[in-house]
Amino acid sequence: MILRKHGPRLYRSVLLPRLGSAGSAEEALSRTYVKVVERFEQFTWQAVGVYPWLRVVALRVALDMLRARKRELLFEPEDVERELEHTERDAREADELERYDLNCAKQRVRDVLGRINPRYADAIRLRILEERSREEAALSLGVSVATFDVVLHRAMAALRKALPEGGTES
Amino acid sequence: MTRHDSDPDLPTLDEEEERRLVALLKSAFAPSELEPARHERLLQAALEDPFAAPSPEEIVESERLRRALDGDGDHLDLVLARALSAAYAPSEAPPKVVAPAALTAGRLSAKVLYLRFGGVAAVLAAAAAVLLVMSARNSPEASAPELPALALVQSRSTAALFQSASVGPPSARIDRIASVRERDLRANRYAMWGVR
Repeated sequence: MILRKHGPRLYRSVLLPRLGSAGSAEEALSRTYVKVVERFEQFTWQAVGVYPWLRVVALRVALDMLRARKRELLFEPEDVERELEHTERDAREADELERYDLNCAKQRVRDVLGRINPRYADAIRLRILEERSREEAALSLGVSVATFDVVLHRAMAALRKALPEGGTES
Repeated sequence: MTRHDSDPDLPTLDEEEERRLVALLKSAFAPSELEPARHERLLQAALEDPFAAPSPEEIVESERLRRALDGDGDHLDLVLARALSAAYAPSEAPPKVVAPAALTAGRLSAKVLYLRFGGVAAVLAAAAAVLLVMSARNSPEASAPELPALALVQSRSTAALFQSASVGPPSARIDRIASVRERDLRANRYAMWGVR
């Protein structure tokens, strides 16, 4: 019951934003479930419920997976380590934590887009984040569709360069 | 949380909002210097012409990226694009919830078992209650007997109970009234159930 209720929330707000792909997030969720079942004896009931504890387990799984990667995506292991340290003193409930996590991830995207040329950031925002069609995106930028494709390609290259480790592959 | 005890009208700030306000104040009062490396990045980004004529390699790569984004083929930047999308607007739920091996293998701890079966028992109890009420309403056999045909104890004044010779102090009178009413209720229920 608990895992069915909170699993999708962990996936959506903790794992997917930090790990960057559905495959990795699903794998992390599966590992989280196993750890929760194995360690549930260690959980002591709190006023804010079980979600904060589940979130810590999921963050630790995400941290392990990020450390195992040669290159990082938007989040680095240090980011998750900081979150875990902060979480030890956390007394927020599930809904509040979810909002916090989702906002943090969005802010991270805004931060990295702020490091590249604003036109590139626009191209990525329109096509990748808002999933607009090429035609719509090109119209918004005032260029032809073919030019937009080139701009988007350059935008992604610029973003890759702007990321801390300069890479994206797992 | 921050709340000024002397002024209850002040809004409660959560940690994030408090941090944002602190950053605003610090930026206004003592603005920090821009890091040279950060400045260089900004400068390079601004000097780059996003609409410059593409090289042949760029045309090929941009076409590959376009196809990959449309689900045709793969591209190095597809991973990054998915990561951005996942962080900015993660999908509502995992495509499939992966059942942990421990759950399927039955390696549940006592606490998990207790929680799961507690939940199941509560659901079953609720379902049984609903079923009972519905069957009591719908089943002709279970319908309530004709009330006029039963000799039920009728509601009446408690005055007689207060005037009884056996009554004592107020607490004893209350006890006596409760006892008599309880007996009446029990008798009526037995009568309605057909118990003699």
